[in-house]
Amino acid sequence: MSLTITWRGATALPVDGRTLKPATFAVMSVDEARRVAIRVGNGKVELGELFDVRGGGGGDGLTIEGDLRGVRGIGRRMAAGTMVLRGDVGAELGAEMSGGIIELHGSAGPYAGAEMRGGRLSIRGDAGDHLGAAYPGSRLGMREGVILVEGRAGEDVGAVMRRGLIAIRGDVGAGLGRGMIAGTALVLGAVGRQAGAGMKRGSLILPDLDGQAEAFLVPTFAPAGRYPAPFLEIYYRQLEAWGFAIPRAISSRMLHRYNGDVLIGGRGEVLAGIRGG
Amino acid sequence: MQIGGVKIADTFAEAFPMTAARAIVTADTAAWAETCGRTMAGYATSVIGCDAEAAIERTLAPEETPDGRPGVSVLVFAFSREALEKAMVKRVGQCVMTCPTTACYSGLPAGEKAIKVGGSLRYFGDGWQISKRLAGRRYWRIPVMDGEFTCEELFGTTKGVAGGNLILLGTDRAGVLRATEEAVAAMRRVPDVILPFPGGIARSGSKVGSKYKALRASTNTAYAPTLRGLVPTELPEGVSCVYEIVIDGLTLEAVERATTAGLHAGARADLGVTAITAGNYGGKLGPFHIRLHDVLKSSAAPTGAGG
Repeated sequence: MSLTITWRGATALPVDGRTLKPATFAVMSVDEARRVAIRVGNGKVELGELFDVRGGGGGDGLTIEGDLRGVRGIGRRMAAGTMVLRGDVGAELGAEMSGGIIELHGSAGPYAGAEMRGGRLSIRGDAGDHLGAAYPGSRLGMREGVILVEGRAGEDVGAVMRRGLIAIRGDVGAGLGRGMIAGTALVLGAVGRQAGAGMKRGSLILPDLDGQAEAFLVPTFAPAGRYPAPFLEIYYRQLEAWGFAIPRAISSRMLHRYNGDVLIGGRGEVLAGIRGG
Repeated sequence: MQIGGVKIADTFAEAFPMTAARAIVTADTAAWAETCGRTMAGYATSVIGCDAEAAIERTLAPEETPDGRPGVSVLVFAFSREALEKAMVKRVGQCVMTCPTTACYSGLPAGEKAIKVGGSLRYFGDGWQISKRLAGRRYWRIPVMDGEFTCEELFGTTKGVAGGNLILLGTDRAGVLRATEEAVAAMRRVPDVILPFPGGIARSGSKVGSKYKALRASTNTAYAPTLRGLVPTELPEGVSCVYEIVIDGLTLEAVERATTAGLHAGARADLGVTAITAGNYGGKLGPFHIRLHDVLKSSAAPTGAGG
């Protein structure tokens, strides 16, 4: 049964949203769903105390609506199903998720998709810091899956990511792909300083730049000349299929390539666009 | 049965299963994609003497290829998945990776019965190869002197049908060759098939075995005009030239469609073609029997066929 849960704004305490994922409600009636326990502050309440719960509409998806900035960890460790969120959400949206699709029509707090293992997280608004990154003290960030952001993102996007794809239409803060182990991050907007610092392998793809990468790269990236990258077209087409439109002006035909971070082997790459290239 | 005064023999082509893969080869220009496809399909006319049978299936527009560049699709057939993998790794490694600007992708879905191609060729990168996995498919990017060679790790395979054939008989070599060329042109418009011989045509049709023990096949004496009077012949009076078209396809239906197209286009009495027949081994070699009369009866194409 498709379920719609609407935030009533009944508390100012932080809410742990880890139970808010399709699997929790897969075989429940609306009444049973209202009785699901949810952590608030240092206690637990029934879901119905914080949310209006209603069913219907067909399908087996989950829709959550309202100002959810105080709810953290929605979709945490989600493994399957489809969840649509309407409104801004708190930290850790889809963190450690391993499958399924989350569609957020709003903006997300920090650590969205942190240490993600699979599935697809689509954010129509902005994302906070540490998108797809590792938690403090952890050795690996995002390990698989796809994160799509239509707006901007904060600092340390994809830090220590191991695999997967992050695509961001807007600008990103400092530390993009910091300590990246592998994987791919594509940014169509401007990029903050120290992108790729300490990256071991992986790709930072910045196709809408115009040869300005030196301005934000650390000095331990080696320019490797102009480089045709037809494989990027595969990414562009797949992103289009996921609803992340690539502007026509962006080409895969010729990019500036920088190898780095040479301090730790230099097997990572930054591919920066050449206007009209 | 006749088409336009050309006798269509009441016989069948005997085909057999072979494992097939489809390689999508792209390049910066259509010309380089074509060059690469032709090179990859070189020396791949018959598994009697080659590691595989291969040819360009068709050219591909940029919107049909994974990386948005012009390309060709190449079908490759071999007797087993292991043999196909060996042939593909060698052919992609020596003929596609070496060719300027190219990339190579699987044109069939890679299920359980996939072969490793890019996954083997990646070692050419000497440790500098880059793996990219997207939407369940893995690609290898191997540094080469004009940039990078991108090759998909796994190529899907399918059980295809090989050895479909038509044999055109006629009185005049130039005329029969022209009619056979026209048959080839019509058959190449059918999707999912290739005609692996030079220009799609074989002149050295073979029979199984030889007086020489080391040979698995030898000249088809019954269809060799110069041996008339010396050996039993299948050639009617006046026939001085015979050409064979061999058809490999991804499905039996595709081979049948190509057979039909070839029969209609090759039945050119005005060019000296007197009969079209097909080669078989009495049903002892392969499980697929493509009866010429049956495919003509079941086709919707205009025939002008007479009884």
